[in-house]
Amino acid sequence: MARRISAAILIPLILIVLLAGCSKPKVETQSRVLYSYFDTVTMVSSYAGDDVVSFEANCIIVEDILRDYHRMMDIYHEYDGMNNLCTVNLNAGKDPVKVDPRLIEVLLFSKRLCDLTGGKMDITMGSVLSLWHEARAAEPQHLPSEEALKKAGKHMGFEILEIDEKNSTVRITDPEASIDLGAVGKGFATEVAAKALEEKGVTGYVINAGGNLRCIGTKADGSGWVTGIRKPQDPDNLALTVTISNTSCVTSGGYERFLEFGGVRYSHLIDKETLWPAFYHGSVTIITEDSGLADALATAVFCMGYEDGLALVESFDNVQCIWIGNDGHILHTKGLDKKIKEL
Amino acid sequence: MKGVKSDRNTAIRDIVLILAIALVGLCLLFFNGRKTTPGSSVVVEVDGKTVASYPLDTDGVFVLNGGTNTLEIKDGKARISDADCPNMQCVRQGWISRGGQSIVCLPNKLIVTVTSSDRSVDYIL
Repeated sequence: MARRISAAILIPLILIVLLAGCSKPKVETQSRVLYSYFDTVTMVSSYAGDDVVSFEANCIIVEDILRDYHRMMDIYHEYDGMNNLCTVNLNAGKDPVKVDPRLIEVLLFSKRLCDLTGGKMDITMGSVLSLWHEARAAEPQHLPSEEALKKAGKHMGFEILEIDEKNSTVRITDPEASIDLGAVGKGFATEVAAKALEEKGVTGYVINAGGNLRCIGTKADGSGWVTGIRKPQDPDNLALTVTISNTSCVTSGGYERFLEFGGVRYSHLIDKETLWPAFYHGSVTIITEDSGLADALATAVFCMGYEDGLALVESFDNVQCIWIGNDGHILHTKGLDKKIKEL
Repeated sequence: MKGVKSDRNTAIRDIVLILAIALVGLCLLFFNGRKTTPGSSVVVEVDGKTVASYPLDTDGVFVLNGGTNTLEIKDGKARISDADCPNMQCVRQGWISRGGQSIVCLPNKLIVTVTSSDRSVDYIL
């Protein structure tokens, strides 16, 4: 009897030891880096254990989509044989410009989000954003003048943008105004690329478009991706980790792109009401499936107080949010209770 | 009677055996866990290809990519201390030290990434 019991314990034990000894087979991660899109580095990674040929094919799908959208939304260059956002901006105050229907789709998506965020995510702020962009790119960096900002601030708002869906044309009515898709374009394009992979049945992939994460499925073992969110005041260290799968995760933080002047860091996220960088939070992280929505909401919620942000986030289905304060305190929506580990 | 006693002896011997095997198993688990933790280092990639790797625990200044960027390692941290790109975004990014952190120089298609023993985090935002 005892012999039989011990055998019942022994056999599984031996199995465990054998398993521990040969350590579980590890699925190799494959990654491919793309440099040319949205002024950032994009990394496509496969955790699916698929072969190199199918991985390369999937990377080409992603790259083709990102290239198309990058060109359509580029505000600094025009390209042969197409009208893009740069063309639209150059023709401000003139005739309507015929554009790719996919660009119309992005503009309509942005308009809807502008309405839903009470104008906090506004793509018509080009005139103001370009002043901040110039100030950031200058050597040494400086602050734009209040006078210039106020003047530029008069040339924005969705009334300056006429979108004709039927004829696929766009017109900016105010010659001083311009469109800047910086807050939503990268996320939107990433979502289109991810959807294209999903339609092919791809799973176990992550597209990381310059910190704009879009996870497709889960890792091969069914687990999620552990994502660290930095401490805004000490970006070398992490404030928390959050485990994500089948979703997007986008962080807007004052520490990503900033200009430094007089010992103060000014983030690239500009509050439409003040025309100055938003100082409400250290960082805001949005977790929701649609990468375009995540991108836009991360910008909008960064530019408003916690109560307003919470109300906005809760007005959507399945959107989660993490706020890290300038003093390091952490707040998050209830849906993340089990997924967050504060460090 | 004798049969019962030998059964009990067998049971004791089996328990000892089980404990021994469990101990060996634990040791194996422990050493396997240890084996996969190398020290932190910085990996330099140019145009998608890994071109160099430096341990973070050795201070030094390294010329990268034929002189386009200069990497400095000091006190377990790394930064791009000089570059020939127009906006110097890579220099402005400052020091990195945590696994997964990276500095990007888009004009030179250069990425410096910290790889570390800390495999617990897949991405950093």
